[in-house]
Amino acid sequence: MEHVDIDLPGLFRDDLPQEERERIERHLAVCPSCRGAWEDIALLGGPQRRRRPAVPDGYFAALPSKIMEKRLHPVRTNWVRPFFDILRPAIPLAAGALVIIFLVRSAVPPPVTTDRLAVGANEAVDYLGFDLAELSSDLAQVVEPLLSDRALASIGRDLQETGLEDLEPTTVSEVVADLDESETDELISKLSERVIL
Amino acid sequence: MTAISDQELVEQFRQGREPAFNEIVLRYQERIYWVVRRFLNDHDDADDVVQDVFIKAARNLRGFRGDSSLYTWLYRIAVNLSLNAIRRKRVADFFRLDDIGDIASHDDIGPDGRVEADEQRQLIESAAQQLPPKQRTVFVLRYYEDLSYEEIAEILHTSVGGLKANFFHAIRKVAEHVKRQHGTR
Repeated sequence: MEHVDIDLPGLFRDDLPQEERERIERHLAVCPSCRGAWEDIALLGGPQRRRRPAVPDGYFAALPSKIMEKRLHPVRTNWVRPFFDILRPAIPLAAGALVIIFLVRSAVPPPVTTDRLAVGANEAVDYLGFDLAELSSDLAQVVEPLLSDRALASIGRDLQETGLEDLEPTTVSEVVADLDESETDELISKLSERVIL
Repeated sequence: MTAISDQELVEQFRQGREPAFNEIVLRYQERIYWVVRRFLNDHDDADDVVQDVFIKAARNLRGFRGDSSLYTWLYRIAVNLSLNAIRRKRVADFFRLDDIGDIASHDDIGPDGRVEADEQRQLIESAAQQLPPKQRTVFVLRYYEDLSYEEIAEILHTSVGGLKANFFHAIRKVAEHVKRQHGTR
């Protein structure tokens, strides 16, 4: 069976020339395959093709002025909003996580900090009880970086490791003064090996 | 009295006469609305896109060369913005689980809250929403808007032969969906 070049959808659209319509109908009469396709397609013909969903009353009358208004006063696109919409479900989870972190952190005792040690960070002379000027150049290279806040926090941890975690507010000089020689050596040794900056 | 042509309206707008653009809106707003509405299947979404179509048109009208007719040009903008809106909506709906269900619900309820009785129309619309973008575009422009293949080819910058194939496949898929739905009731 030679299939004609047919525009089956055109049949229900009623926009085919009469000759073309007749040609297709003749073909459908003898071709079960095309007739089957047409029977499917014919479902879509009829009045529902013309039927339109509802539009609010007066919509088209008001549309030109809405467009004019939007043209004259464009609303800046809020590009943040879509991201917020996407992230919105995660907000309660994030809040919960923050609460848990806060609770866990408050349950853990605070580490020995620079505040607790009451170190005068700028007073290099008092630092570890030594005057930098009197230190050998090798040791000075180790001690100089320790003057930063980050380094002082590190010292706090070292003091903890040497069993001095229960210190009352004091200066490092005072702490070191209480150490015996081996403890001082140990402390300096720990500080020397630590990568702190 | 002879109606002023599209080209004359465009010229007037280019010369700064705002009423000319208003006339263009009045002339094409319904046709553009129904194209967009058939794509998006929701009045509020369609309203936003229709406004954007004309705003974009106004912005670019000074550069409109008139190679195609004005309505073809407007249709092209409408199709592009509708497809963009569909993509955006799919992404948004993917993340916004609580709002799923709004997509199909708007058209079910008329302005007076009455459930529309036209099941067949809704079946066809829901089937059309499942079509791939190209088939969906051809389906909307041909099935609902009665544009000729030549006009659609001009809008989409594609061949008539390809459009016929796309439309035929679209029609078959929609018909199968409708038959299947009828079979399950």
